Amino acid sequence: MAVPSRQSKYRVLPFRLTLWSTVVLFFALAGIQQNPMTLSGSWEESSGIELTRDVDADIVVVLDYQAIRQSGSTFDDTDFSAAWIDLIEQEVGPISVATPETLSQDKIDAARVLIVTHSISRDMPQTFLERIRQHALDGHTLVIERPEGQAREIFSSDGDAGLRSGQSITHAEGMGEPYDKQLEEMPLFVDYVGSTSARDDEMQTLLSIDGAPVIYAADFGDGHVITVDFDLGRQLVTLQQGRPNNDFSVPREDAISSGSPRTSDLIAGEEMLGAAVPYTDLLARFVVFGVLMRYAGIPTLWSYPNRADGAAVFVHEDGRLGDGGAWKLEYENQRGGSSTLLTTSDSGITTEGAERIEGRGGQIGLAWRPPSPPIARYEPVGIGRFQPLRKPVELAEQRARLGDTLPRGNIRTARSLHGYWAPHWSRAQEMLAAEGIRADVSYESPTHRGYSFGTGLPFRPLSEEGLPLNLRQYPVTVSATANEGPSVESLLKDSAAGHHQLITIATRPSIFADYPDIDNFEQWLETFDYVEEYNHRLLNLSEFAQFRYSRRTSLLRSRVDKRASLPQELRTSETAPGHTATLLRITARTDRRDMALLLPARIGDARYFDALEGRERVGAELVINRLDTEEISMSGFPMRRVPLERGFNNLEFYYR
Amino acid sequence: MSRRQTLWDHLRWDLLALIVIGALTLGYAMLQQPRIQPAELALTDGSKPPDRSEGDILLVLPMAPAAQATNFATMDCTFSWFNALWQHFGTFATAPMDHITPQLLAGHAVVILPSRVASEIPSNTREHLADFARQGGQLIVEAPRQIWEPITGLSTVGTIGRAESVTSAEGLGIDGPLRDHLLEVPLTGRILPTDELELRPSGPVILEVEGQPGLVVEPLGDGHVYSLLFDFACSLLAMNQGKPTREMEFGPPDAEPWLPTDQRVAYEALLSSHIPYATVLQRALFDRLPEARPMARLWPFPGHYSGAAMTIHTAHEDPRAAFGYADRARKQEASSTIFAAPDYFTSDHTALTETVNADVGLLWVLGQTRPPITEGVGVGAIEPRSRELSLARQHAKLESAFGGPSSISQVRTEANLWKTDWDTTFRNLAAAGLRIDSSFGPSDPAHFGYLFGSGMPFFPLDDRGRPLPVMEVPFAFDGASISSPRLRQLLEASRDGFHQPVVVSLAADAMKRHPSVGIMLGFRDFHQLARETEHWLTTIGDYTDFLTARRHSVITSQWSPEQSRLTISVNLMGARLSSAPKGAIPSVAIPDQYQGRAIERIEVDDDTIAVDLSTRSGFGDERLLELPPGRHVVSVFYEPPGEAPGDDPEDPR
Repeated sequence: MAVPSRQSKYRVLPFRLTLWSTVVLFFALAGIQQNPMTLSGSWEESSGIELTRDVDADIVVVLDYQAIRQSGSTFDDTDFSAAWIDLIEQEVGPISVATPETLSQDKIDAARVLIVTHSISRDMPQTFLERIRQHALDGHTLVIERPEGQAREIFSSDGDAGLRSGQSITHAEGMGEPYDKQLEEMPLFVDYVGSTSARDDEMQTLLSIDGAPVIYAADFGDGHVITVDFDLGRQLVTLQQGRPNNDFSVPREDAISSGSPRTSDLIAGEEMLGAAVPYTDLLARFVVFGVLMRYAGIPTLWSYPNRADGAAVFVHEDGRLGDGGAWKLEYENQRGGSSTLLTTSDSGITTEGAERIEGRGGQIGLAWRPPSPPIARYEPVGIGRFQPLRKPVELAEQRARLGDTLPRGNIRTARSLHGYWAPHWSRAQEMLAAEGIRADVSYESPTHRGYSFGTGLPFRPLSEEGLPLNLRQYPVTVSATANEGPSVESLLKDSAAGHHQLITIATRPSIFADYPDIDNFEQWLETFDYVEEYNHRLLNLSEFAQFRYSRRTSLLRSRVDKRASLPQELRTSETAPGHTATLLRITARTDRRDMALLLPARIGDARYFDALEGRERVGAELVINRLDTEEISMSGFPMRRVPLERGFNNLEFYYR
Repeated sequence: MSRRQTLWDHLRWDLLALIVIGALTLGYAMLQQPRIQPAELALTDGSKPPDRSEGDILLVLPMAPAAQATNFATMDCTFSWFNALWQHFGTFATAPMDHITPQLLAGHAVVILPSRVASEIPSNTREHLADFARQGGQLIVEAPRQIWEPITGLSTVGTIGRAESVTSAEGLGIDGPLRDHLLEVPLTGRILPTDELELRPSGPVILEVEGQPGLVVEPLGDGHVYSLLFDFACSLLAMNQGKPTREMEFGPPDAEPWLPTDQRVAYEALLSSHIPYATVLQRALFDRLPEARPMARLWPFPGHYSGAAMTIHTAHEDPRAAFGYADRARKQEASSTIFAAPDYFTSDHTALTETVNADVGLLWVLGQTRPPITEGVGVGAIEPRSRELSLARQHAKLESAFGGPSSISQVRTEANLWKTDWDTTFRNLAAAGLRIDSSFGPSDPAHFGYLFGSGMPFFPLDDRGRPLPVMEVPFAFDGASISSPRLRQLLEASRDGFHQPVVVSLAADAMKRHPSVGIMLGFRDFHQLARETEHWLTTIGDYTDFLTARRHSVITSQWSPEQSRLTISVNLMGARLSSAPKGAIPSVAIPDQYQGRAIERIEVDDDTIAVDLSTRSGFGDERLLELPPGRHVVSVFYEPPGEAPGDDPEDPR
């Protein structure tokens, strides 16, 4: 019997080890190939932009971006002065934005309203202070936010009571019912500056928090100075963009989602969930129509095309039906509108299908799958056919894939699928903006209809540094899954009556594929009747964005002459003997036919009297056209509205 | 001396272990993807239904089945007459041609001789039939060859042509949609030659086909002989069951083995038609019979309904959406039929069907558009092969969800697919004990309506011309072809004259595959539209049960010209159904006028009843008499000849 020697055993051992190691390795690799390891996705940081706008406009907003950048690294410390830009753009239209470096004397001279934000008013150079003081003395309106030092001594109350935590608004001067009461119910998230003595006895309190004046006006030479003594920007940003933890992380204690955060986790407070009142806009409109228009008599451009009382946008989110995701478009066309289809890059949409959708006036955007585990899609990573890893498909890749499918390619509208969001307050929007997305529709409450983010209008989000992002957020007013909160009809009705909102209605076309709920379908059909009944314009998101872009880039200049002589055509026995009036002369230029102008119903003590369109010579005659204006309520402020022609409009409005 | 050990000697057990591991891995991989063995399907032949002796109309049948048809021209279409009579009159008598005696003929008012019978009938029987006509009977002879000249009065010597369409319907003597649409009816088969003849009223020709006489009526003694010189029954069969493109096969020579049923459609014009052309062609002949003497028939719907409306939902996989549609129907006080794939239908769903008040039928999974249903074959848990479930096994599996054999007799094929030959799929269904199929209909969104000539169910014929024991219920809409305007058009046309059952098929995944607002709007509106147009909201199971009861009813009549009295003896059978809890009983349809004379009075079981003018057929040519089930004698008195409007110059009417 042959017994293997110990030596030969040792010689074989390396071969045996190699053999079995190979076998183990083979099975290990096969196992890992079958079950690849998942790499987590990243949320890439991106900075905001230092937005300036050098246009000829009635209102100039002055910011100091350097001061904003240096304001702090926590939510509580960040300076949100840049929120003023969006406020004025939304409610007025054209706006000039300047920094201390770009603000020339000419620009100051041209401004009927100069808004000096907190970013600059807390540490104002002496020369600048003198220039704005003189500007006010010359008969213009100066708005100064939470001034400090010498600026406070010159323009505002003493501020000696220091910062106080605001509980609620207690008075809104001139705001009609029920909007004044609604504003008083707005949740407050800011401090205000308390004072022990007013700058002068004639100071007019316009807005009070807890009984203390926080917006007040005083005559200043021939002009007016208006002080905003609370952090208006923070209040707007907190309501609109959401309330993070102080380190900007998304709060998730009471999150609807237990895992990945969703946009609904950012809703500022319980009381905002399903709010029937757009608090952000109510506050913004108080500032514009209750303050600026009251003192400066500035006009604004109406927010919706064709003098509609509001607008409705349908966005359809789909990740399954492909070309069929836009099945509602046919009916929307029949009802005179269109919609936006937000589809995933893997939904199965085809170029031909996209052509058909766009041919019907539909817009296509990206339903983006963020790297959140429940909805992320993964792609394998490896060498050749050996792919032991997988990673989420990045936003850029998703956008490129969908863009390759679409006839026009470039995708500028997106929505995070089902509202899944980054764990950081502004990171997702920073990523979207950096990838060229210009409109995002991710903000929504999945459970409640209404203005959970204080507005139905698109707003420009800010980065954690407080800088504007090159993107607009369209908060969803009616989510596809919401069952609570105000009804669609009441939202449209209230909007027509005075809130004048964009109602963004999100649907998921695929829910009818799973279960054809005819009641749900009929509710959708009813929405069209309500949209029509309450004079809202049915648009897709791109159409609305284009309108708003034209509105922002229109020219709108005005001048007030308080001792004007009435033209012969408007004189009556009632205007005798002086035939004088206050004249608001407006020059407007638009590139659309569907714009309208909004004017104050009063300037000072004078009420709206009549209007004329610019004079034109017909043969030997000098012809003057009278203009018809209509009364309208803007969140409780009485206004007059008049349509504009495409091109230049020279209009004269008389007040007596 | 010991042999020097090699590396192989040292590692042989290792390598052996490796081979075992490799074999196990390979076996495991094979278990993951087992080979599928296709199902074997049983076949059943058609057979002649039992003869019935009672009825105003007698259909004479051949003695034996025909030879297997090699192409459609050789097809025996005799039983297409059976379908036409069943659809129109409801009940009638049948007898083989060697049973024809003068005594048997005496009990009937109309005798129909299909083409094959007419060519094979013995001369003595022909003489009996001639006597029957001379004594006041009405004889319909299809494709009468020269031997019939003494009876028909027509010589048919010459070249046989091809019939494609009716070229003149002036001889009908009526105006309106029936006459207009008759010119659009596609015909199939031959047209026999004959002498040039005038159209009625100056001549005997009722219809012209290809510019020559197609339907001719000649008096014979006290009766009339109708000669159909074109293939009436084959034209109906081609519309109902499809027209093969080659030797009893459908589709191009390289066609897939399974084709959607709408590829069997005989003519392009039928693919999107709200006109039931087969019904129009039937009525062109059958509506002529009461001209010689009034005849009653059993209305094809219960009570006063103008038609029937049904919804079916196919669930190729998850039936959840089908329950959603059915629930909507329930809320509309209607019910529907869900055709469920047996591998997705569980016992939980059986309870749901009761909740939503739905019937369940089998969706026969063919494995063409979705994975086939299989069962593993092997020992214990090791099943390296799998076998596709046959139709019978799928049927049993679905029934098992209901706890055992139940009454599931309805079937729909996956994606409406059908074997490309003439009858195999029907024969498969019959062999599996399935009695009602609803796979014939559109599958393209552009197609809708009466693709198979009619909404009425029919018994398909096998390739020897025998009826199979499966009732085909065609559907008019499917998924993306549904739209409210189309539904309204079809239902209104049905109410106003064509009186059809309208089946709407909406697959559970319709809103996934072809989502559209039209589907949702159409489905939302369907039940309301059906109600507005006086259609009976029912299910295909209930409707076919009603038709079966109607077929089992008996109606005979006697006409007394002297008294202008039509005496109808009727034994009405009803069916108690979930969609007609009080019973679905066919009404008796009576001609509204006879030779321009209106009904004077009606007696039912010796009681005079008021004539209800509101219950008329859509074209207004028939009056509907609702009666309880059982035996009744109805006497209908028409105005005497002298009193008819127009007869009396003094009559202001």
